[in-house]
Amino acid sequence: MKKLSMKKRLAMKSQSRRSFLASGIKTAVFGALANSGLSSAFAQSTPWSNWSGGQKCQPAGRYDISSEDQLSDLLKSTRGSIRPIGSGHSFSPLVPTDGHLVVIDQLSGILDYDADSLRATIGAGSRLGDLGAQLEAIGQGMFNLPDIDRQTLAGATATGTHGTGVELQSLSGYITALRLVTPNGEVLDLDENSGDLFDAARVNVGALGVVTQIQMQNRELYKLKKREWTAPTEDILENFDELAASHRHFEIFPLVYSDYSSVLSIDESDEPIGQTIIPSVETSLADLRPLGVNASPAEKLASNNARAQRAEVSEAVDLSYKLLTNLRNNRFNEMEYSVPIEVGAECVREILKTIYDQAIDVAFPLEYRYVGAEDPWLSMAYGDHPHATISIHRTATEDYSPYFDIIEPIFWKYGGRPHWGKLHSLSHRELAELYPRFRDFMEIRESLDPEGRMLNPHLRKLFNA
Amino acid sequence: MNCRLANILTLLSTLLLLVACSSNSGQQSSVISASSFSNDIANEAVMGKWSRSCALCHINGEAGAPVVGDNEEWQRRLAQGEESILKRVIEGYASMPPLGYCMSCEESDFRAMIAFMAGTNQ
Repeated sequence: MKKLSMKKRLAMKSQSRRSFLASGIKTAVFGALANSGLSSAFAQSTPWSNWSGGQKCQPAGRYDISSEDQLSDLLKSTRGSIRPIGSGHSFSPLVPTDGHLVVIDQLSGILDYDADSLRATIGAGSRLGDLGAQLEAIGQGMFNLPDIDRQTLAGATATGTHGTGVELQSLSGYITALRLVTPNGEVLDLDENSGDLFDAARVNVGALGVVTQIQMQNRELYKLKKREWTAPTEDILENFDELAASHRHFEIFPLVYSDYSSVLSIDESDEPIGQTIIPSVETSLADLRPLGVNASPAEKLASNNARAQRAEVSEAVDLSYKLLTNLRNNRFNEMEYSVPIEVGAECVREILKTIYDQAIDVAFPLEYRYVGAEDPWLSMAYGDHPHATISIHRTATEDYSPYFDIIEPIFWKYGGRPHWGKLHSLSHRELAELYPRFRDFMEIRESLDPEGRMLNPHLRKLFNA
Repeated sequence: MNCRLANILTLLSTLLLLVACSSNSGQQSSVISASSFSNDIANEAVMGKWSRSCALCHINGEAGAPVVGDNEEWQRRLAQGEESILKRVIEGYASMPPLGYCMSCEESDFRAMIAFMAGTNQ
């Protein structure tokens, strides 16, 4: 393990630096509006909740960060617990604290870019949904994106958030450099030459400090063609490896109480932007519970199969960032595990059968996809082989525990690794067996934050601290 | 998203004008008021927060969000009680997540933002 003293500044001076139009506009407009001070001096700070409302806390206050220097000075001059926060999209209790929340959404926009290497340095507080258009303006596009566009880049990468694609990595896999302000206020610029610390920091669960800027390896701007249809789940599962290999992105949403899945493939396209096939009728989640919660599994199966068979193909072409992410207005809670692809299909089958056999009241489909192998230590796909990821959901207004408590042991049975931003019940004992470099991460965390000011109860459980 | 960005830029001059007006008023910060949103001034700091959070949905009316400046719609909601609106913002309501994506906001910020969007602080 390399020591922290190997700190080096990003070798970006050699890159061509040009002011970025959108960034300039943002600075001109919102920079003038930015808060110049800290906004933590409230006797009773407003309670915090995550996106789903499933996690809550009463923080001592909020630090609204407007610059890296301000953040560094703050960490040097204060003590006590802090938790960095993105957009609150983690379902797991990564944030709740009785200390201070650190908000970095003023650290946003494209800070630098290089047209030759197709890399861009981005304020870590940027929302993914805002970055697409900004990158488009400089002719770049991210290789892959997760589903929800409101997440911040810092939050998404800290939790190992990923998209779909057996040859594609998570957002963290495309990080080429990042700036970390450690719990004691030291500023570290990390890249591939930083060794272990870089691989730990790319998925850091907000336990190593506060990431303020991230350099991403992008590619040239590109268009994608998305096709959605329904098909028998078993037919797809039997051929999933071939289908995943033949499409840039391929995933299914296995419908519960049904023999069918909603299928999604996305591939590069040179066709004109537009909807190429428009379905006459779209099926929504509400359509899949037409019989009410008291209907028998057999009745639900017959109804949902009939609806799935009537579903029509939908097809559209657009710029990559417009097709890969979505705005999710129906709030929910989620559990997601990755398993080796060799057992992925069997794990899906067992979950679907369990839901049916135990008549679990759920309408949300599962989500099943492949993610490419990568190096960040806490990545769900860490290692030399791609992983399959499986998600289960429950609407935000429903108690997720009865459903998730039944399904989670199935993930364990197949060697599942939990997504850090999604609900799970594992502790350091199990995690150290699932993530080969977990103990190394714990050592680095301890070295950077010996007093544990970045920890909350959930993280203390994860890291035995 | 492009559409949203375009609309944000379209509203730019309006926002700057409003900020300038609030700055000229000499009030440096919003204050907590239990009585009425009309006392809450959206200063520069608050407008910065608004542009990074509420604006995501309240410019385009995403997911049924009342659009900034739609007085008729805001009056209909204000009729439900200002404290009720504030509670929904902080705890979340329907598609709107708790805190409306403003992680740095305190209650006083939300009061000023609501007043700005509803036009009650003019």
